[in-house]
Amino acid sequence: MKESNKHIDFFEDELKDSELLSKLKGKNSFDIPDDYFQNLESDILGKIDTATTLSRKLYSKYLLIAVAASIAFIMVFVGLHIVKTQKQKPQLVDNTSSEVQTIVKERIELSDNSTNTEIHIINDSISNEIIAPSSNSEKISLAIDNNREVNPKAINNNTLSSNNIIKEKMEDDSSPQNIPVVVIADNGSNSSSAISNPKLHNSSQRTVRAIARISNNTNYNVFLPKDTCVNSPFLLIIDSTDASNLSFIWNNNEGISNRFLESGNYYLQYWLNDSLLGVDSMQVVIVAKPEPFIKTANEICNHESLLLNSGINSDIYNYKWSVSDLNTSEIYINNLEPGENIIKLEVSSCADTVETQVAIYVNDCHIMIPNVFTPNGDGINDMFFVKGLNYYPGSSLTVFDRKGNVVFQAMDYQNNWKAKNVKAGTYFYSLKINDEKKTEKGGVINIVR
Amino acid sequence: MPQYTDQEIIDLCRSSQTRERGFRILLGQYKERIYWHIRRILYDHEDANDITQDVFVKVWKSLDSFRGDSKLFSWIYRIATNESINYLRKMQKKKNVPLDQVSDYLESKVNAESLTGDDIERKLHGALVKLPEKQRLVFNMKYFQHLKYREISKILDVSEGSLKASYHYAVKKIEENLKQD
Repeated sequence: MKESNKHIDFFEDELKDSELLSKLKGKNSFDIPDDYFQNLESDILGKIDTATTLSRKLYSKYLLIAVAASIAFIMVFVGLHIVKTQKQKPQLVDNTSSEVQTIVKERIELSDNSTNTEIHIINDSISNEIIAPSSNSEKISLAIDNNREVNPKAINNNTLSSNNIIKEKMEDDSSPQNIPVVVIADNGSNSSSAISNPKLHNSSQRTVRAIARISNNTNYNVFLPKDTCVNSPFLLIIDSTDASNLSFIWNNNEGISNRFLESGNYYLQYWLNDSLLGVDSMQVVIVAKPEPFIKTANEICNHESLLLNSGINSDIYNYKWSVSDLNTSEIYINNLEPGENIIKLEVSSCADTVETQVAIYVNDCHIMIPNVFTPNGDGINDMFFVKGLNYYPGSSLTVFDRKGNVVFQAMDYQNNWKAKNVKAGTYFYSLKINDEKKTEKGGVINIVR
Repeated sequence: MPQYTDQEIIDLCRSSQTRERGFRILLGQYKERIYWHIRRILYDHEDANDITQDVFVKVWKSLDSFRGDSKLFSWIYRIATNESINYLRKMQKKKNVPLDQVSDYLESKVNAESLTGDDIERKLHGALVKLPEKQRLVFNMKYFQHLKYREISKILDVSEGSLKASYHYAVKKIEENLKQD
């Protein structure tokens, strides 16, 4: 079975591939078992079935526990509380999930049956306040005021029994769709893009602060920072003082809301009152800050090719050499201009860009052998001077006369032959240059006095 | 089966009565694409099969939290990409392979039986697994799956400009590699 190409027609896009690549296009060389996709579907549906039944079982268990806890709680409080007269009929919270509603209903029934009801009015100056008992002893407070700011004081002011009362000050229009949003964002800003890329600007900054808060948008969501790439692990602190009723579970099953983030994928579940509200994920890639140091020879000859090594051996980074288009950690260059050459390298990861440079002196090592010199002591052209020979130490020179007798010989010629005791005339030389190829040059040299 | 739009699927999934039907439709429309997307990252059929199942179970479980802030399409692709990359990293850790050598693990898969096709294709995949992770992902999505930069940008949460650069580098490197010997 091969991959069908039916999606191709509506995914047209400008593509400039090489000939080779366009030839291969559309080929799919992967094999899969026959009927695989049908089996896949039933496999997945099977897994989901078990997943839902499981969670239903779990849920009913939780519900039982919640009811039991409520009963116990009431028994304790029955004798302790002074009941205030009800100035206003409490209303049911109708914007939360159906689970919460069910629990709330049960709780009210229980409360009504007992002689001392648990329902209190917090503050009669707030006309649209809705009060309902909670399902268990956990502190729950969804306090939203009209300017969309979370009001944590609402919890403190509630001196009566904040522990078992849901106090919600609703928007004027408290339609069922009007469910709060939990935003986790940097610096208290209300959008997830705020920590879109928590660049750690200096090495000491190791924490990213995120704030969990409840606002009054239409959705109920947790936004983790966007996928990010940084150069060192960092601590993500979720400050949930403004949404203290939420609990968080990371994918390593740690319940703490703060987490030290290293490379990996992170999933954060957020729970309200035993029900899972949602999950968000983020990917963190840690790429160490590159520390390039160009390793190379400091001085070369112009005809030599030169190996430049960035000092880093990793594909993770992008390498931008001033002398090459290659994006590799090591390059060969040649044909450098004689003189001082500054070679720059920019190594970048997703998080950092580090620049370094090296100075390389390029010598003109071209050998030039004269065909005449004048050893007459006038200070001009007095020696047999081979230009560039100093770059090839160990080069040997032998000079013959017409008859083939050796008149001068040096195993390591230093450009210092003054042709003493040699008559003017024509001679022959043989120069063995100590370069990579052991080049031999021979020719005629005229000595003129 | 008629084609449903993402919005129609989301609407079906939103209500608890029609959620299962919505999910079946979602599965019908996405399972092949997502499988191939994952297979191209992981190469091995068994690996891809496992991860594809995980992805859709995850999608099912998170349908509640998905309220259409991003497109269904990019949301599912993003989960699939993250899960696959996560899996690769886990495999590396198990085998004590350093982070920059995912390619070794994948190369063994390329050389294994799971890949048919002629030498030049094998060579293409050999070059492909040597690419850095991001470039490989971009190349896969662009070259094999014909996604648009705009779509890939939403899946990977990377700017289109950077994607184009990545694709360019990937093509260049692969070509260099194919030209060798």
